[in-house]
Amino acid sequence: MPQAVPQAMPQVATPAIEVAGLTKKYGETVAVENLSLTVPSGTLFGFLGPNGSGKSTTIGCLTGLLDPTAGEIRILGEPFHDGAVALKRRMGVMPESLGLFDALYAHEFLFFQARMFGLDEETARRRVTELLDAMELGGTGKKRLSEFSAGMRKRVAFAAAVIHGPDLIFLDEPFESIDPAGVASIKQWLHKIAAQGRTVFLTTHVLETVERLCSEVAIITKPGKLVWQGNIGALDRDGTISHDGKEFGTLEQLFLHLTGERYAQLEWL
Amino acid sequence: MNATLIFRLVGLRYKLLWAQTRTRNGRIALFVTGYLLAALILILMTAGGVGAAMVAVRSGHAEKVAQAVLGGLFLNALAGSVITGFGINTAFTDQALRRYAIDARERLAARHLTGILEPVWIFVLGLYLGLCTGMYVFGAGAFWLGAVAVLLLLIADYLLARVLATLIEWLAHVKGGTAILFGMLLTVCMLPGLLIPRLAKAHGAREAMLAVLAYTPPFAAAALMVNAGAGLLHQFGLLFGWIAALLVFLAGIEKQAARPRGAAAAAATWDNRYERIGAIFGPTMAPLIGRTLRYYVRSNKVRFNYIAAIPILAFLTFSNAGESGPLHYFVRALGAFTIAGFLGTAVMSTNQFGFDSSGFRRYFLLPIAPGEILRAASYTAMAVGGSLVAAALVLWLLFAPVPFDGRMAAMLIACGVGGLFLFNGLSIWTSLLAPRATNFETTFGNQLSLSANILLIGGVLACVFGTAALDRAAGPAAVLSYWWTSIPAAALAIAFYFYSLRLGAAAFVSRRERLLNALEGRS
Repeated sequence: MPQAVPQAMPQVATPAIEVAGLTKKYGETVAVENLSLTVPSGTLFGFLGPNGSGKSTTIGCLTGLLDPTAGEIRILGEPFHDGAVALKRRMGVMPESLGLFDALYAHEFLFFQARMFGLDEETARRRVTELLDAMELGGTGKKRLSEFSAGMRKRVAFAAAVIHGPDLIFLDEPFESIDPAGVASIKQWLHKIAAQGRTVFLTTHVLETVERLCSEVAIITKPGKLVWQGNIGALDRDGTISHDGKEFGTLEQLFLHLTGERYAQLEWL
Repeated sequence: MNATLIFRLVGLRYKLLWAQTRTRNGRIALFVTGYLLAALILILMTAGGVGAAMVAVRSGHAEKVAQAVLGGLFLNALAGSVITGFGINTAFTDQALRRYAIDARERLAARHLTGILEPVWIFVLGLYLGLCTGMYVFGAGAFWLGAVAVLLLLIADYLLARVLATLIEWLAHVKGGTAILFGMLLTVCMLPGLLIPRLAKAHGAREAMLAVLAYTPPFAAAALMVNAGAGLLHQFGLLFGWIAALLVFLAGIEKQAARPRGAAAAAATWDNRYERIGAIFGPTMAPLIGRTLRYYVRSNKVRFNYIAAIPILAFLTFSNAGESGPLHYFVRALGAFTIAGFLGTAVMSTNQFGFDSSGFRRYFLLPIAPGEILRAASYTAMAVGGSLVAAALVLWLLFAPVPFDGRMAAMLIACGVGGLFLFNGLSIWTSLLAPRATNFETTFGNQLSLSANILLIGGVLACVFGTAALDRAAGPAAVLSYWWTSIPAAALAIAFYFYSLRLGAAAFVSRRERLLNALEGRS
């Protein structure tokens, strides 16, 4: 039965991510406060929270983009810091802003990414071609990334995150702007990745997707405080999740209860 | 015409300008430019305006002086805005304005009203009004007539600058446009030198030229200012005619430039020549330099500056230097060589990461020491700039009308190499300390930070005027006798570059969150 987990839970296998007491401040503003979290290996992990709750900041700290103010991070069993080059090679990241080089063509960008992550030239070309075909971006050889639609850009960013076959993948809002067929393909690939024992850490606001895709979920609220972590298999199994002596029929109900979010009423609308 | 909304947009433009002062860099920029502008306006209005008016009235040639001053200001404002990019872009694009409930004519008016109210054009108007005030004070003209005339002249000046900028922007995007641009630049740089001596000798050419110039906006404004020449109606007609013609031409060319240039579906073609060049700097650098080189090659700004660098420097070197003998060209060329490698790449090298937009974030996700990113960016600027130094040297050896001397070649190489290292060393610091998110797609518009502008404009002025002063003060013989000093100076510049690269690599890591905020528009 899922329950509130303020501390990292001990795992038998080496967890993919272990975070203890992570705090990130911008001057006086606290973006993440004393966050402790454990992500088991081989899971599809949903990291949820309202806008501005610190999800992207947490991902920034976990991927070396931002320096934590305090706390300890272990990735794939090893201590992580911004200079952990060998660990970074085992990670794939799709940042919220996508991080694309707009003046490049899609194949040039993916080739750059593949080469930077140590793939040889031949393998890099083969994977780029395969990924572009799989993402239905095969005919874009003369179109710069700046000319791509939002959905196409997201597909390219996803391809860049997985091209080197990482053990741990961070996806920040991966499904927004992508058409239903694209989302279905990505979900299928993510299931395959997790089945191979690799870990996917994703954030999204589409809770129905998380319900169907993820096995494990953490919910944070402002400012980056963990309020719930647990297995959501109970929703499939029993149709409800229990928390605080209450039963919740959907992840959305639990989310709204935990985060205190309300539907605002606008009379004039 | 929805004048209220249009003026609200003008107000918004100024609010956006003011909003820039909320950042530390913005406040510094405002402080420095405010003081500079105030001082310049004061000096120019007094010396250029009132002083010129005094000369005009005392000499009895009020109209001729007004023609010369207005013509000079007109051309300087035009060239200044096109070369430096100040005041050349309208604040809002037509596309951005489509969200508001205004039609095409109102969008055109809103764009150009915000454009002409950019600070740089107000500064130019100040200069025009200085002369107008001077003429009025010394009794050579009517103030209000002159004021209306210079206002119309300013509109013509602004529109002509926009026409030129849009034309160049469009040419930079079309196939074969770069070659046409290069031809245009060569013509502009070489024509005065070829034409003026011939015109000076030809009988009656001066009068014929003045008769043609009488139909230009500065001459029409000058006639109105001193209330001379043909009737007022004729001069006003001329000014309005120019404005109308420029507006029509501008609307046409903007329409042409705005046509979508969508790429047809095409399979990926693999081209790794950029990575091969990058591999010269080591296997880790190959993809990084390959990526950065593509940015340099695909940037219209860089392409334009790259092809313009040598013709501009040749013009500055060979104009007004050879009267006392060809060796004077050599002294001027020292300044040109010092800046040559930097001038063509400065728009990107002084702001290495400003064109990366969200891609900047990716650098820190790569399994590589972040310092390598800075090195790759800087090495690319050095390689591209170095090709300009090499080209300048070859052109000098082939075409310069100066007898060959080994010491000269050594000095020119030392200046070229030293300048390349010095300015790229300084560019590391402007990139790290004053980064600015920049639109990759545009050819025009000065999007550099204040520090980068100081480095670029200050560097050009220091090199050009510094060597001109050296030429006058010491002369070529003395400069040549100290030829060896250029070698330790170049060595110092090289040492400065590598020291900057080392310190910069550490700063790149420690400042990354600030860089992210600046480049993603959060500060």
